[in-house]
Amino acid sequence: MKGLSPYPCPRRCRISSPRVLGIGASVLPGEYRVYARFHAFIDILTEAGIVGITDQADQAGPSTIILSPDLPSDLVSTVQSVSITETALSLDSLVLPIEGAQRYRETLQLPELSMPIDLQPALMLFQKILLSEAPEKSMAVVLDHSRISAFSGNFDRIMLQHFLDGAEACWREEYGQAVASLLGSGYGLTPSGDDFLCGVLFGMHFANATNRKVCPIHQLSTHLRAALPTCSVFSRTFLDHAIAGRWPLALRDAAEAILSVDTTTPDGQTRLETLFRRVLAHGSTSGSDLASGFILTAGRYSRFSPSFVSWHKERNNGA
Amino acid sequence: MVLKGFVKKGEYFDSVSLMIVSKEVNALPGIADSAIVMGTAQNKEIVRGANLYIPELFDQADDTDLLLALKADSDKVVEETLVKIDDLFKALRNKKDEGGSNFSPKSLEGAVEALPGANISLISVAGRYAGREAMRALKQGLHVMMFSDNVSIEDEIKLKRFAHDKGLLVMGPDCGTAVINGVPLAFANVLSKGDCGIVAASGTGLQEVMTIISNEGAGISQAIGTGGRDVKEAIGGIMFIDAMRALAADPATKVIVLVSKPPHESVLRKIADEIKTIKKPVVGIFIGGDPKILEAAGAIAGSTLEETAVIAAALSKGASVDDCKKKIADRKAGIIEQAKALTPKCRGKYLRGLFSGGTLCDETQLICKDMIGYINSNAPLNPEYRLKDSWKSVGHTIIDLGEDEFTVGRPHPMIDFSLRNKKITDEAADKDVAILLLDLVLGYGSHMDPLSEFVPAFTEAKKIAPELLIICSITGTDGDPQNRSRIKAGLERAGAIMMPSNAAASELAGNIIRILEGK
Repeated sequence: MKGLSPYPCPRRCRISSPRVLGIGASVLPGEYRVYARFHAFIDILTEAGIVGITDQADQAGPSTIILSPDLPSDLVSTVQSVSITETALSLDSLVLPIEGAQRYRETLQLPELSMPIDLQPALMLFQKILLSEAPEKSMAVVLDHSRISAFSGNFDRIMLQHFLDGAEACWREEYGQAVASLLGSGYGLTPSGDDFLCGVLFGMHFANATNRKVCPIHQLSTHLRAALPTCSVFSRTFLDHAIAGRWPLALRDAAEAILSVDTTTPDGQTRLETLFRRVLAHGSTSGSDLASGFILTAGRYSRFSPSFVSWHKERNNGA
Repeated sequence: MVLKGFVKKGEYFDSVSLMIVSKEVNALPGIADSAIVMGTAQNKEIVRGANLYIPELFDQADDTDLLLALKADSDKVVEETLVKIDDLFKALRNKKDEGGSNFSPKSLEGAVEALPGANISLISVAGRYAGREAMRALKQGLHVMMFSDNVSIEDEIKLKRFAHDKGLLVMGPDCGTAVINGVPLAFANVLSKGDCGIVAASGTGLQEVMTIISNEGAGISQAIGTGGRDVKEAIGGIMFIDAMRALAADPATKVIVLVSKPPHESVLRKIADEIKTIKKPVVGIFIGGDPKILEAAGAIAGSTLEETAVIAAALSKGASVDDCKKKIADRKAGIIEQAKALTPKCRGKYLRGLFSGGTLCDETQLICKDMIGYINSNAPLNPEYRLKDSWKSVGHTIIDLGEDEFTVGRPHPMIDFSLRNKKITDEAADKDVAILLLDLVLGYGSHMDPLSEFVPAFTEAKKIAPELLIICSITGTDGDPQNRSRIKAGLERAGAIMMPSNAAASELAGNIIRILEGK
């Protein structure tokens, strides 16, 4: 039938012969060694830091290479040597041209605003989606006290204390304390605290651009820079980019949409929801931790009160 | 209390995996506390703070190593837990590996990018989100099948008008069945490929017709569901008409089959006008509707779903429609003889039907109406015969167990037989019940092993009431995962009288009751 042409396998697909769809602007030419292999993700390393190769376009960022459409699982498990030149990405004997691939813009370029904008509807929507989707022991706990019950053992409770103390320190602009509590705290490979701090930093950049606040970005950056040598190589790369104002594509797109999309229309809400979910799709808890830091901070410097405020008051009152 | 731990050098796990394992471990008996984290400096401090730190092990670990510490009642608990942890990590790895071999996009856009040749999207999300997702798919140039229900009529109109303007199809909302280019979607059967194209605003009606066509030796080119509301006045049959046009233009379709409950009068006029423009043979059934309108438009009207399917198959094979109708008439005469033979052996006086397919339930009521009058039901043909309590049968009763009142909080009766099985034994215990009439729908989405459900229930019913007649029909094919012939043989062994179609089963049941009532 016209328009319903036969397709051999509509439910499941494996597509071979990947091509380079996009490449982060901070990815430098050189010989890399394979550092880690994950599901649909290879991390490669040089002295400059980690570069991720993935087929998940949502993960685009300053140091990611996005392949399309599918990163073959056998390649993930077997590739040994990776080199990048100005024109090609070589994965063992597989040479993929870079020419024509998109170079991701990394810096936040927010529209000029003639007057302060009401961020409340968009941030509220972001917070709602975050709290409905975030893994239970992520840093979303700082925005939702009902999540505390997930931290059940003694070890978990001490971890939780670090999360809460760190978030509170961010709120009070005590960034030395925030970094001390959060950096390196968390369960996974990129600890939740690191992702949260990156979100806080991004929230400050966003707040500066939107409501003409002067957030103490340099204070947090200074503390973070001093502590970078203690971080894992993953976090170090990620935070290094954040301090330099280079962000994952999903985060930038979401922030730019908050300022340009009409939240009163269904289409606008759909657009925002899609972009917010892309942020949350980063890593396993990274996106949620990042979003928690961003929402807390963007709210801190705007008229939006994240739910952190109400429940934290309860906590401080001994509830 | 014992504290033990180990370090897995260079083992990377994402945080969700570690949290899952950690949660499982903390819930194990005998475990007082545990820490399963990457060995960052800060995490080591937290482990120390929780009194779980083991210096001789953890001092040398770094942020690329996995630390594991357990505080437990005994060494034995620790050993058992370590085995359990290994198993959990292996299971998580295997799960990821499985995921790695099949691409699973996280968004519609990602799926479109990954599968550039795709041209249809199946939407199965909560109703309030379904309209939005369907519109996104349409904007990507995809045809849409909406399995979701609870979509507002306003959204349905908007989607279908948009799709119509773009030359796309919207099948649904609440479209449970379609077969596109031989690919069964949602509740659908494995069919022979052929040249009969079907447009249907009825899910089980479509399944009954397409499986009979296939079983008759013909085959299906396309089976397009539109959702039941499409033929209502508000929607105006937008997709029903568009699907007819698509089949008319489809070189692989030689015979067009229309299946629906009676459309709104204004929609029926549009369909009739469209039939007049089609140069291919059209066979149709609007269950309970007036066949004259179809015939006046040049279509062949079937009186039952089975007759419609058999005529379509005959047309497909180049056989004579008159011969086909004669064959059906002969079969009907044979059913009357079968009824006469069975009647003296049965007890009681009432017919009780327990259906999983809504359209099949309607068809049975229509067929029986001409023999024994209107029947009490939770979905009656005549509103006066609506049961006051759907859970309590009165006189002749036919229940559609797929109605909302029975499916809130439980799966559809095509999947979950528990309610129907309970009612089978309840009805058997009623001495006034002469016949139990049942449908059984096979195919993808339906219960994979219906014999394991029906055979014990039939056996129990027969134990309670040996003279009870259990009459059953199967909607399905031998190609279905359940295999129609195997199921038929199994149910016959359990004492059921198996009929080739819902219409035939209804005719047999209706005739027996008619004879019992002396009509």
